[in-house]
Amino acid sequence: MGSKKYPHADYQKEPISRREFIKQGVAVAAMSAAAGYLMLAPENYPLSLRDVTGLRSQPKEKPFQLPDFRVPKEAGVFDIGIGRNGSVGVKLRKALDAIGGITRYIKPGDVVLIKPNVAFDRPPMLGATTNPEIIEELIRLLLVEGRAREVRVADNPIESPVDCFAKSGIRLATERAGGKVYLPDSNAFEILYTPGATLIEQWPFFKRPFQNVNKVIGVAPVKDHNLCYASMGIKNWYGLLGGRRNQFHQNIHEIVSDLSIMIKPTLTILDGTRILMKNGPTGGDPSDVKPADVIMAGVDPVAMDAWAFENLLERKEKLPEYLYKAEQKGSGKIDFRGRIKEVV
Amino acid sequence: MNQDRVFNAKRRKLLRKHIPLSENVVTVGLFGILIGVGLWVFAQRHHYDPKERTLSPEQLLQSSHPEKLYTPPLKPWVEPGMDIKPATADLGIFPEAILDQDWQVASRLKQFNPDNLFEKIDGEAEKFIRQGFKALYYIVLKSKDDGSELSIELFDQGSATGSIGIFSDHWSDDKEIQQNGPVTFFKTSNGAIGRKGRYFFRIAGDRESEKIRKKSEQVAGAFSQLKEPEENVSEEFQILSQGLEIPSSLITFQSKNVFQFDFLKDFWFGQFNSNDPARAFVHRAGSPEEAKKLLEEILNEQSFDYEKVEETEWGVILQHNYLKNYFVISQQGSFIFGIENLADKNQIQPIMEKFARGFQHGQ
Repeated sequence: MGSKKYPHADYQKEPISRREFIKQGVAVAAMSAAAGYLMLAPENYPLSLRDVTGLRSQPKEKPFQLPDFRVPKEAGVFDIGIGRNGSVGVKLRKALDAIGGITRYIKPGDVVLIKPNVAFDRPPMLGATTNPEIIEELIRLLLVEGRAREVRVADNPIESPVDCFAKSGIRLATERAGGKVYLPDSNAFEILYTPGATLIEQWPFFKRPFQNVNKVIGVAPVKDHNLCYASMGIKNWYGLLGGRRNQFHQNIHEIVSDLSIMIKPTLTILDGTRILMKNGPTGGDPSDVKPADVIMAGVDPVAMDAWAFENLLERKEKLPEYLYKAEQKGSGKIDFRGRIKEVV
Repeated sequence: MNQDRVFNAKRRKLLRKHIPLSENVVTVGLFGILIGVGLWVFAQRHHYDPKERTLSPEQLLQSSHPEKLYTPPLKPWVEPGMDIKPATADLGIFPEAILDQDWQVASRLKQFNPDNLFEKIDGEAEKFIRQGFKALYYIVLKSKDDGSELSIELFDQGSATGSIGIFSDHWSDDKEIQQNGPVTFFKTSNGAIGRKGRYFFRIAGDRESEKIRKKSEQVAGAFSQLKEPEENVSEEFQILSQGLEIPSSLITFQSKNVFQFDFLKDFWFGQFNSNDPARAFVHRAGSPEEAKKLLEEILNEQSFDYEKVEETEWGVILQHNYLKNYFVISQQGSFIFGIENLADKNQIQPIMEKFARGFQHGQ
């Protein structure tokens, strides 16, 4: 200790040989040239890293695909249930019981997403949005009977999301029943890949509330629509699109049929308690709203929309074109005969 | 105990010949944790489960501490000698008469144009744009008394033709029309819908109550104060209102599917009496030749339901096969005009004479 041995022989530098010096010099020059090439070579040259516009280094979003949320079919179970008479809760239960009951579709521990139609800043009496009573009853049913771990409610409204969820009564109904509302923001959207879709093969989608969700239920009002004649179960999914979705109104039937393949929900529920018969989709006059006594639940949204168009909107003319297109795309069958069970 | 120095005099290399196992393990562990955190952050980005992150407003309130950021002065400063009125809400085009002690503005005025109307009424915007839409002004009033709200949509349709067209889409026979000065409207159970000149309005409360209905009626009346530039009312409207002396509240405009025929567009109708289904109609075609061709097409289509009774100097008279009412149609220059749903054949001549006078007014 204390001896002055340093530098130890192991650490003493040895003189560099000329050969070694040249080798190292060449290596440094080659590396500098390579770095210079990568940095300065025009963008179309091989291996060039030059990025004058910044576009090359922009993060490339990888589209995702939605899983199939449906449950396997069971022999002897009807595709569509219709509940009539009684309170909203009773009608809902009747409709669900007709297709095997809520426990056939929801298992304990499931995380369920409900997609109501909250498109407009309108009170529920105008029939432009889903009846909040149905949402409240459905959430209770999912949490108590279905023993779902969590129930989320989400939509991307046309007007201010906060105002729409407040005025439609959906927020209050959700929170009262024990669910949670998810409002959209700009980071909540990701590109969804929908194979076979004509207009939205790759399109921004309200993804965040779908994280860890394994069951999805659409709850839509039945209402007149200025462009596609009727907005029902399939059109409801339009509310999950982001981006400049209004441009699709030029080709409304194609986009609605695309929506039918964009998502395969566990269940579709049609709110036939208040039907906006004219001046849809926004309405404005309660006398345009026909009070009715029907709630539908089912697994074939095409057949459900066809039945609701004829029987709830009372349109005897040809069905909207998007239903034929949706059938062609394999989303369901228009012919509902023999597939409906009605519980009065 | 001897301790090796870590660095040599040139601060180049470790001099330790032995590094204990525990130190190696801790190093690897820390390195592993760092890599793990990095991978987790990379994998999560914004794919996180919202349930794990979102805090309810109640939780946020519980953990927050109120902090007064701004203390307003006790009273507003008034420059000596200046009489400054307190600031009022920006009402834009809306007349001040829509406000009173109880009802005050609850949200700032919003304005939409044809490029962004879909942000307010997506799916319905095209209907308004097709009929000359220029702007939508939207405001919400709130009652201090019971918190009820009234949403007011005021559409500038560019001309009376546009506002009458949209109003006709909303109106049906079972809704009683009311006239308050230049404002035509009908009441709904939670508001009112109407028009004044080029403006069309929808007033909707958040509940159905007598208070909401009264306020809606008052707001509709207040719209008589809406300022609008002088405009030339369309000739068809003048023919019906001045020539046939039909009140403007009973005049409607149908932009498509007239008489349920796809090829007929832009017809004006005037109902002689609100209890009588008989209506006069008038349409202006692009040219006399076009009007003649259209007349022939209408007669051809109507021949499936009507029987031709006679052809007079006043026009062609048809009678419905089952309802037995009369449909009269005629042409003068570029105009096609006539009567539908008329029960009494004797009324045809006086009405058609009035039409002739109407064309004099219109010209």
